[in-house]
Amino acid sequence: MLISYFTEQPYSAVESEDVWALHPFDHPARRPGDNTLLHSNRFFDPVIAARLFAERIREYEVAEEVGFDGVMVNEHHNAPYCMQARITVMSSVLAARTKRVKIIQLGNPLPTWDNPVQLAEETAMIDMISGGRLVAGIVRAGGAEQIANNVNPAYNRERFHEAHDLLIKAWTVPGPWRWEGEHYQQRVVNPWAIPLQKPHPPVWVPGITSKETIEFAARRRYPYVCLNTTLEDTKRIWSYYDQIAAETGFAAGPQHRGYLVRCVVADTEEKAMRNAREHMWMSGEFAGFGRPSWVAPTGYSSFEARSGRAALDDAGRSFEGQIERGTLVVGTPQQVIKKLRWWLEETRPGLLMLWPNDGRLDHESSLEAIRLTGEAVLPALREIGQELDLTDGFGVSQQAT
Amino acid sequence: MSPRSFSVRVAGSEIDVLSGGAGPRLTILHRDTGRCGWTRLHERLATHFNILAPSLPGYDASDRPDWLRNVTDLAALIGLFDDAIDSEPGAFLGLGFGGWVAAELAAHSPGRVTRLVLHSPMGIKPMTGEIFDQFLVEAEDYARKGFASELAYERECATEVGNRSLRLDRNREMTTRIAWKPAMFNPSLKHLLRGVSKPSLVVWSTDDKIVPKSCAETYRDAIVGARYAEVPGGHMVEYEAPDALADLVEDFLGEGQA
Repeated sequence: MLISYFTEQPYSAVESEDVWALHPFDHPARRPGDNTLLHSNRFFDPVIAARLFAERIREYEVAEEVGFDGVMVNEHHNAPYCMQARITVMSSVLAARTKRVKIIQLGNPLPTWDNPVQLAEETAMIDMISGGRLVAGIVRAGGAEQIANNVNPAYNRERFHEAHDLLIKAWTVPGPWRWEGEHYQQRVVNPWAIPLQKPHPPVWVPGITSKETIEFAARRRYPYVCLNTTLEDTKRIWSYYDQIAAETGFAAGPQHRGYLVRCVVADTEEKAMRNAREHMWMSGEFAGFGRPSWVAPTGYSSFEARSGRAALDDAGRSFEGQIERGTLVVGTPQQVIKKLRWWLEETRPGLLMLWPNDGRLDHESSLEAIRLTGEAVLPALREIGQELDLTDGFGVSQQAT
Repeated sequence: MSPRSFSVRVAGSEIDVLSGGAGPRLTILHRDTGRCGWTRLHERLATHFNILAPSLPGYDASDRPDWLRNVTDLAALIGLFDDAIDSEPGAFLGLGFGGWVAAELAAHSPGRVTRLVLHSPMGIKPMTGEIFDQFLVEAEDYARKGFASELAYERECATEVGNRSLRLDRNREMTTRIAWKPAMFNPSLKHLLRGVSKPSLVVWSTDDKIVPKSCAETYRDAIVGARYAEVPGGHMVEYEAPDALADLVEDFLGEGQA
C-alpha cells in the first residue's frame, strides 16, 4: 500500500468568519457567505502567504522524513481553502526539495489548459528533476475552476478527453507531428522534454461519483482515486470500475483503487476533535455548500447529475455526521488505526492518501499531526496493508516485507 | 387566438415553430431564457402580421446541433430556416439575445430582411456598463433579473407548464455552448452592422438590468439610419410592456407597407 500525505494548503491566516459577510466593494453577484470565486482577494496578504508557503513546503519535507511514500498536491483558483494556483509549480518545488517520495498530482486540470503540449513539457521536466517520481494525475477540474479560468464548462469533458490524448501522445510519440483537433490545434508538436519514466509517468484520475470519469479511468487502467467519498459511494465506484475493467479485459485490484481521507490524529481525542473541526473551515469543502451554478455550471454535467449531487451532499454536512459516516477519521493513533482498518477492509485501496491538517491549524500543530501520523499510524497501516494484500502497483507493499 | 405548432427540418435539425395571425411575415426571435410561448406581444402583433416564433436551435423543443458553437452560425441556420419557410424576405423582431441573432442575420444576409426591430439586443460589447453575467448566478435568478417588477415575474412563473428549472437549464446550456466567451457578444459584429441595409429600429427598456443602454446606442449608431426608442419596464418586455413595444413595432413595420 502506497501511503501519501495531502493538504489543501489553506490560506490559514483568515482570522474571522466576518470576512465572508457582504462588503461595499463586492461583485454584484456575490452573496453573504460566498467564500470562493467572488470572495475578494483584498483579503489576501502576500506577506503572510509567503510565510505560509514556506511552512507548507517544510511540512511536505517532514512528511517524507516520517515515512510517507508520497506527497499529493492539487490546484484551485480564487479559493482561500487552497493556495496552490498552479499544480506544476508546487510539484517543481517538491521535486527539488524532496528526495524519495512520489510527487502525486491530483490532478492536472486538463480542460483549463489551452496548450496541453506545454503541460507535457512541464510534467516531463518535473519527472526528470525528481528522478522519475512523478504521478501525473488528471482531472476535469471543478465547476468554479472553469469560471475562474473562463473555460467553457459545456465543453469540459470534450477538452478533458482531447487534452488527455494529446498529452499522452506528446509524452510518447517522437515529434515533430501535427495536431488538428476540435479544441486544440498545434502546428508542430516536438517538445524538447520528455518524461524519464517510460512509457510515461503513472496517470491517476481522482473524482467523486461521475460514472463517465470512472469509466474513462477504467478503460485505460488508470487508478481511480475517490476523494473522501462515503463508504456506499466508494463501494459503488469500485463495483462500476471492476465491471468496466472486466469488459476491458483485466481484473482490477487494489492498485487501481485510491482513497483520500481526512485523517486527524492527536495524542488525545479531545485535541484531535479540536483539530478536526478545522476541516469544517469555510463550511468544509466536502459539505456541499457551494453555489450550485459555481460547483457545477450549466453544461458541466447533465441537469440530472447536478440535481442529484446536491441531494447527495445533504446527508453528511455536519461535523458529527461526517465522523459518523467515516469520511472524517479522528482520534488518537489507536482509534484512527481501528477506523482506517475498517475502511481498508471494506474498500481495499492500494493507494491511500491521508489529509491530517486543514483550515487554520498552525504550523507547529500541523507538524505535530504529520509526525504523529507518520510515527504512530503509518507502521500499523503498512501491516494492515500487508495482511490484506493491498498491492499498490509500485512495489511499496512488497518492499515492506 | 391559438397559435399552430409545427417543425421545420433545417441542416439536419428540427426547428420547432409557433405561428399565428395574418399579414406580412414577422419572425420573432426569443431571448436566451427560451421561447416565451405565445405572449400578449405575439397576440397583439398577430392582429397585423403572420407571426413566426421559432425556438432557436438548441432551445426548448428545437434540436441542438452538436456542431453549432457560435452565434454567427446560429444566425446562419435561422437564415436557412427563414428561406425554407418562404423565399421572399420578411421582417424580424429580435428580443435581447434574439436581437443579437437577428442583427447577425441582417448583417450577413440583408436580402432576407425587409425591416429589423431589435429590443435590448445583446451581441455588442457595451461602451459603458456590462451585459449582466448570467453564468455567475442560478438560472432562475437570471430569469428574475429580467423583470423590473417582481409581480410580473411571479405572474410569468405561474404560467409555466412543466419543469421550469429543466427548461431554463437546457436553454442556458445552449447559451453556454455558443456565447460563453466573449461573454454574450461578437467583437466583429459592430463593424459588420454596416451590412444592415434595411430600415431598423432599436428599442431599449428603461429599467433593463440585463443589457445596458450603451449596447442599444451602439447598435443605433452602427446601423445606418437606425431609429431609437425606449419603452418602460425591464428586459422581459413581452411581459412588462408588451403593448408599448407592439405599438412601436406596428407603427414601424406599418410604414414599410404604406
